[in-house]
Amino acid sequence: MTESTLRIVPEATEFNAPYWTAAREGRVLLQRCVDCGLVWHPPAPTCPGCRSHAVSWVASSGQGTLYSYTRVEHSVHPAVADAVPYLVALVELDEGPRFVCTLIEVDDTSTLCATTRVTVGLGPAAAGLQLPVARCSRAGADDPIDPTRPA
Amino acid sequence: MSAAVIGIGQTAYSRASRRSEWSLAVEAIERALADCGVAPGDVDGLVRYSYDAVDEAMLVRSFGWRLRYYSQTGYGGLGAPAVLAQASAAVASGQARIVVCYRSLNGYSTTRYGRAERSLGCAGGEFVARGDRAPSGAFAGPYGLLSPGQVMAMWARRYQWEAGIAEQDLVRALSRVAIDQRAQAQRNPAAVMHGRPLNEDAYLAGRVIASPLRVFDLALETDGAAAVVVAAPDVARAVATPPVWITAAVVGMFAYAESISVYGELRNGPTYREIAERLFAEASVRPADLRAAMIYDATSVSVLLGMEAYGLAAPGTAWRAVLDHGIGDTAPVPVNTSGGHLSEAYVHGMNLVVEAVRQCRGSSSAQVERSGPVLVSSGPSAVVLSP
Ligand SMILES: [Zn+2]
Repeated sequence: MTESTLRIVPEATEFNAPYWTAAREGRVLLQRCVDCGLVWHPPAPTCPGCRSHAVSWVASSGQGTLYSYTRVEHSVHPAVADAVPYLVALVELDEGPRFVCTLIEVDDTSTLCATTRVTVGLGPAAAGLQLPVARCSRAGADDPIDPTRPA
Repeated sequence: MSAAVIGIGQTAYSRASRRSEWSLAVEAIERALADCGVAPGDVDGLVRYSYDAVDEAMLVRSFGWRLRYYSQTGYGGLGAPAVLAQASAAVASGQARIVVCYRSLNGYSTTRYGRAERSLGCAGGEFVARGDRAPSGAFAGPYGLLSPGQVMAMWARRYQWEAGIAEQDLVRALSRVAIDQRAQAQRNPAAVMHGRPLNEDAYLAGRVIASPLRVFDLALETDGAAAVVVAAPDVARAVATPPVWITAAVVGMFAYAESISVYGELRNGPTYREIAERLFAEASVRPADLRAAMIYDATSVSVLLGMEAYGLAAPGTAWRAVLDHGIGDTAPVPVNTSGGHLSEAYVHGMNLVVEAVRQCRGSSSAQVERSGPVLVSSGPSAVVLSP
């Protein structure tokens, strides 16, 4: 099996094509309402908050918090038969929306929790493409300031 | 009381029917009609799941019906309460008098819902993920999020984190759901898992499918069909079977409340609880009045979430309630008493509907002591049935 044969590719639509162009470069574009400022994902043709048709794209910081994850041990499709076991994350991006992606470079899943910080950037998605994937953030610059922590 | 379930029918449940889904549907409907003694020619309405491969035209030809009402419900398993809601509304509005509802699928030998082949396209030697459904859509499939069980595994992990419990507490609660439903299947000769009991050691030895869910946490894949007959009160009072009244129904939908999603509220959230409160108010019952509950169990965690959504446990506490009392005879409200999707059969919720009717009639293989109101719920859709 070569990498170019068995893989799962996303189908772009007329209103989400910019998303996929950026995603192939590892960047996450989110839709933002010009009128009310709401940010959402996955893309939609109108604002789900105020129904405005004035929709723009903003680049996500790629920073977020782990909302949930699963370690897939049983393959349910030939395209991921060689990838198992792999992790799938549900990330709550700092801009608000939730975002599904493969989670990579985790040594010990028992350390993952609801406050785990992740960074989304280009990497190997489980089904064969290079796409935005999540890695646990290194402690330091990316961390939000914790007001309860002593200085 | 504007409509009642008067007839129930089911085929054998297996993993190799060696028959068409059409043939299975006909048999289940024949049995449901025979159960209540309604002549096939008297049926004038039909409600089906949009997912069913057996359509209205096929059944009209098989039974010689002249329908004046038919409709469909979407979103797979959300259809279990929804078909009853639609049949009840059709009868109440006078559009039909005798309505058949059914689900037929070769869920193992034809279409395996645990596999992703059915939901991905194919083009130029590549698999194509379309739309924004999670699992399998464009924003999920390329990342390997491909099956309902994987999404529910993420629900389970989130439930654990929100309840503030250790993974082992979650796993013990999930195992109790699976083990208790398997025990009910030992009392139900029609159950696929009849004769195959499960204990905690065997549960824990089961392979992990998508953590934290093991193989015993996931619905079976079953070949089979089930059907019910819904009728107007005068018909219900004239037939030999005791009427089981559809006392309240809700077919709810709000953002990301489709049958499987990762973007909306966890399914024990406030909007789900509001839907449940309105349902119970309409039925004039409290959750504690329920004699049994059939909670759509595509995976075991859906039982915990459904118990919290429909008031059988406070948010974040179903895991504890299940560890303390189980979900069988010792539970305040027994759940999935036929063995449910985990151990009786996976007929996309219709087998849960049939079991709810049996509980109301007093004919379940795990019959509760006094019959009374029974809940059938699937996410934001639910009905209350009453003897
Ligand atoms: Zn807006």
